[in-house]
Amino acid sequence: MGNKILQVGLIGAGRIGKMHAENIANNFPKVNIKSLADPSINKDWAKSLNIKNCYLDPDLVINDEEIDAVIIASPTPTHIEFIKQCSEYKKHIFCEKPIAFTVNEIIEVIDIIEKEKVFLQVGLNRRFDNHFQEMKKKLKDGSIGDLHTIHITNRDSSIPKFKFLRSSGGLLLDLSIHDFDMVQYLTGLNILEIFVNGNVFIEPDLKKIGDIDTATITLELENDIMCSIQNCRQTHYGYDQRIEIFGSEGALFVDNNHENLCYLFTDKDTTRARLMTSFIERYEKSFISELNHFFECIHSGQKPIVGPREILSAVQVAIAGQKSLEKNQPQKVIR
Amino acid sequence: MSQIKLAIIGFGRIGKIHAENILHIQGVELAVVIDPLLDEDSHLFDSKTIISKDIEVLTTLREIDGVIICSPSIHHIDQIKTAANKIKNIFCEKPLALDLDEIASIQELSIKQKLNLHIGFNRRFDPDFQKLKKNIDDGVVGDIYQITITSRDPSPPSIDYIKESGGLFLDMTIHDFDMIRYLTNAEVDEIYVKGKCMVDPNIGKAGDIDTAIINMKLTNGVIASIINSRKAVYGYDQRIEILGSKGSLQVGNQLLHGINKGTERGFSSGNPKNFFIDRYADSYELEMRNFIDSIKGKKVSYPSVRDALKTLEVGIAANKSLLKNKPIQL
Repeated sequence: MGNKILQVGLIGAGRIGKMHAENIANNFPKVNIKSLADPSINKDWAKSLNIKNCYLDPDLVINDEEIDAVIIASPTPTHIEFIKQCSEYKKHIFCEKPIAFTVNEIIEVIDIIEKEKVFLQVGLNRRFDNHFQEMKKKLKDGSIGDLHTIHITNRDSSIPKFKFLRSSGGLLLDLSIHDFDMVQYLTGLNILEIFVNGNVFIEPDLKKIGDIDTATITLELENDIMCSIQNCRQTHYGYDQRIEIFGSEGALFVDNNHENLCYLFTDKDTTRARLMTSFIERYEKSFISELNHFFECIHSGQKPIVGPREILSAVQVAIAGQKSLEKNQPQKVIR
Repeated sequence: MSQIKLAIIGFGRIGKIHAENILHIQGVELAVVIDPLLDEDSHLFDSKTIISKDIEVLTTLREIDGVIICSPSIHHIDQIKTAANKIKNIFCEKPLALDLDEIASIQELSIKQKLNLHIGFNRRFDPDFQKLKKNIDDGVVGDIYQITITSRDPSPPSIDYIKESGGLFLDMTIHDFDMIRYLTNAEVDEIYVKGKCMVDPNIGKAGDIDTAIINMKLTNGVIASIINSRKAVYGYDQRIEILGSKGSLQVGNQLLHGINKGTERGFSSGNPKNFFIDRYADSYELEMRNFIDSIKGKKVSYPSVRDALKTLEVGIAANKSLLKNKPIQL
């Protein structure tokens, strides 16, 4: 990065917004968070990170001429409006996934950012996980021969509150969306068809809003590649994140991280810690890497590798998945 | 009870496994081996064993307590019918048959003649899977949400075998269907499969697939999936994983050796065991001991004709789903 200090604004200082702010403060000396906007700000926390301005009104962040880029980490339903405004004020944008729940809104965003010539990076952080990157590299260099199948396990440690679930867009748009993107990222192939086998085991209220908390998903990709995804909102044993890729000459596997590396051996059995609790611990490095990429793109003028087109593709799969769930039939992904 | 006398029909790969196990069990003798390809002076394990090419030998011999059928599956039905005239204790390898009516006729015969008819779903007797089942039944992980079986062979059988096998689902996946039913105490309610020919185009030309992902709903609401391939170059890949309301249970692969080697290039460890004969060696012995216990009059649980019927129904539905690319209700 160059010598100029990049001025950044933050909209939304919930769990993930705070994490981004801390990552910037601790890892990027040439980036300064000038302002943040959030309806309920912890001023002491903001002060500890040397964030000068704390606003309730996001406009004050977006209108600020000194600010080069805005990080949007507010609830998903607000993303579209903030992206539009930021584009108009020529801010580069980093927005949490899935940016919107509908295809039309995302297409609109693509048009706007292209017209205003700003960058929009989407927070599909798992693409920046070094373990998955290694997996992609080994798949590409032919370590396992021809690709046959992919299997992703993606399960949360404990189910979020119903209030969050209700506005999350549903399991497929909130949780599985990462897996749809990961499958397409790892293989470089599009998902053509989806079948969702879902059920409600944990939160009975989900039935009322047509959502599910557990799903096993079958995908068909280009080149006859098949894929399965296991999702669940609650494991109790931790954040379960595994990927297996199977090929003609072998297989690749990325395993889980445990909370610590300590084993205990006794006359009864061998035990060790549960898995890491959440995405914040498991994907810690990837959240820093994705910001690094964003800031480097702004500096160099190169377009970010994961933007609205990539999230659009994953959202299209999720929407076909919702239809599959409703109809209990496989559905082609409409592009 | 005096010495238990057993007959084996079909002395191929699996027949030999059973014969060897029988010879290690006390109070049991292998009285007859019937196989059209065996010479009468073939040297077997036990000099007292009679060798015959013809199943009719069963009707002339006195005192055979049990018969073990390990012939090619097209012969199973006729051989059970013949054997049942004289012998009540019958063990038959899977698949019992590839036709539902044929299995139904055996079910009827079994009831009428009060047969003690065991089916060779050996994996139920694998010590790891038995422990898994006990953990499930004891409620260690609460209610089951998801169950996943990964089942991959190290290399495909010959094309001639594949042509006769009934296809991937009836030949290979049938074990996984049975395991899912066994572990969850439920039946398959709906099945959706994706299958392709990825390993060898000749398998496709023979009308079969070699790679599949299966997605099922069970009668108790559980979501079940199976991942199959005819060829995993790294060995016989056999894993089961369960997610429940209180946590998870996993059975991993058994490895060829326990060495973990670390060098400047990284670490390497043993591959999974080669194939079913190594991986499920214990299960073959335990299913045979279970069969012999039942002959002795002990009350045992065992895979029955009903299990053969139910798994075949699932296999047939799987083939239908593959053809139509739709979920099929059972």
